[in-house]
Amino acid sequence: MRKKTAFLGILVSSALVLAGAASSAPAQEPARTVLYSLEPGETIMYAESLIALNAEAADVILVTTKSKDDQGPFFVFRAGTRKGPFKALKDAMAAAYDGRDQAPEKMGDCASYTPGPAPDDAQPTTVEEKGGQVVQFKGKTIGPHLMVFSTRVTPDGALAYLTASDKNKAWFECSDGRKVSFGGIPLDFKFSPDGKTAAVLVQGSLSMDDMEQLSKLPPEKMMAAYQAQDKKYLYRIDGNKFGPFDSFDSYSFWFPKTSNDLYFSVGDRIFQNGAPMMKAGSLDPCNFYPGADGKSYAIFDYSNITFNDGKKYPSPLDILVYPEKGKTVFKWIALENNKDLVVYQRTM
Amino acid sequence: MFTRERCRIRPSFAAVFVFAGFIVASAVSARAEDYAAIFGKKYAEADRFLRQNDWIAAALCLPADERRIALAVVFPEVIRFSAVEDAIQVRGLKVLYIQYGRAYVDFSVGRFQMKPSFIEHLESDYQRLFSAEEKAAVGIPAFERGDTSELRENRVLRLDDLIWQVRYLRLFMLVMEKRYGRVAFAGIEDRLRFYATAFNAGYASGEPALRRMMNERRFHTALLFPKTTYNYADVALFFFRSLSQKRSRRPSAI
Repeated sequence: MRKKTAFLGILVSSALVLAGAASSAPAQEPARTVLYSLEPGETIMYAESLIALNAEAADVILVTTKSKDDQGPFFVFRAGTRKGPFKALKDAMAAAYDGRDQAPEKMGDCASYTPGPAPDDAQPTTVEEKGGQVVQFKGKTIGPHLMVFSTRVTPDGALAYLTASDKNKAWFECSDGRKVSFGGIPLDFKFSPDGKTAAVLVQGSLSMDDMEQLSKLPPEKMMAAYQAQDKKYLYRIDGNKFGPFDSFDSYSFWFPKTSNDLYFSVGDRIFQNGAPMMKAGSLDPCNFYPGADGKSYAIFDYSNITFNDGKKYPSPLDILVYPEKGKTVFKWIALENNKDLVVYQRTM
Repeated sequence: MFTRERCRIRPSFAAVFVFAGFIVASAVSARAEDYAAIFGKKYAEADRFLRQNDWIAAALCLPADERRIALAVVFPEVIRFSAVEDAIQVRGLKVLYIQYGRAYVDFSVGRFQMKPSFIEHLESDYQRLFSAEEKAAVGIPAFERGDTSELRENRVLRLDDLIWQVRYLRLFMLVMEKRYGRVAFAGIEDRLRFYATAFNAGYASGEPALRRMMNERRFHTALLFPKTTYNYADVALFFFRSLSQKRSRRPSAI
């Protein structure tokens, strides 16, 4: 989904992918390509700019100024050519974005995946039918269940996921027929960027029937049952179950934008598809860039970008991660010495 | 602070005339525009955000009128954040700010869209204008002074935290009281519009400049290239009035 806003910005794109690739990176050291060197007194206009690495667009656009109060003169760097000076910013903008009416899709600031909206013609409907609730999606009927909690459709409109409950069990279902049942209450679910895998967060393990029976238990057993109901579990749509977890919520599990693996954090440990991966302290999923190979990753903070092999580099302005020929390519852009706009590429 | 009478109206005749003009202008413009309809879903989301997070109002630790002014002051920014949240990419700008400072890059961060330069002013004024006793009463210790990348990173980390944005909003209200406490406002709505303009345009500009900017239409919810711009103070006033109406209907933290 392309945003129709015409972003003023540094749009670093597949042109950079090609530029970086041309530098033939050594196996572990990043290739370094200087995109643009600012002249003395020249600054990039970041206040109106957006800095983005993107694999779809095909050019680099910089709007720069040589004044401290944005009064000009202004310059434009696009497609390897510098134009200017322009007296008015609007003239520089016109030159910078001539022929463009939209910006390419962006990675955003966060590395974890948040799906965009589904197409209008792929919206599921929940209706009362067959003594319960059913979900209708693309000619299929899912259910009936006593109640349907939540439905969500992948951005390409191909698949719908839902959570629902009957008296004796709860459900996490996909419109392609996959489903998993469990005791407990489904709280939240997420699916991967390709839409094909998904996981649901569940509280407790008691069904609605089980809950009704609790009052018949002796007090100590009833108390223990209530305490057990505070535990959290993760179920994948393929049936894998993880947990119980004590302190676990919607922020504790995620799919990254850069792969279709399920990640979750328990304490200071990160798990990948249920297998222990690393200790990471308080990792923010927004700053964690795993490769699709499931092995390489980079962690961003405001000081550094740190790779799984321990190598560190000064923190970049933007990061792009993508698979290529069975490996993972990390590409990032940085401003060095307050002068050189540089793209690094590291293949792992 | 905020324990004495706030609306000390002692304007001269000329000032009364001027202020009456402001009141009429703001009332007309606020009546003319239904910002809830103009901003639609984003307005509703911002309104819902503040109501669902009623801890924000409580954490401001301000008297009722000041609290409502503070919430109205940031409300247009909350609308804007809702509108551009998905498209915002400021992490790289934060890195630049940390590496090179605010002279190189300044940008809006988070739910209240606060800029590092605004926060630097606030921290500096808090350091300068408040005694040790007053700081103790506020409950926020003095900020470290200097302009190192480490201090800038700490500032960015605070800006990333909504709890700290609320604290900074509280400091803004307290600093405004210090800097503009002697200004004779025509009433609470005039003060609200003044504060909202100061928050949006930079409170250090001084009263004459802020008075001028109170009538400018610079607010928009586009990422860039806005087709229509609005008066920030009027949007804040519209929300302030809705808060006043809600308060008269039922008790609430807001």
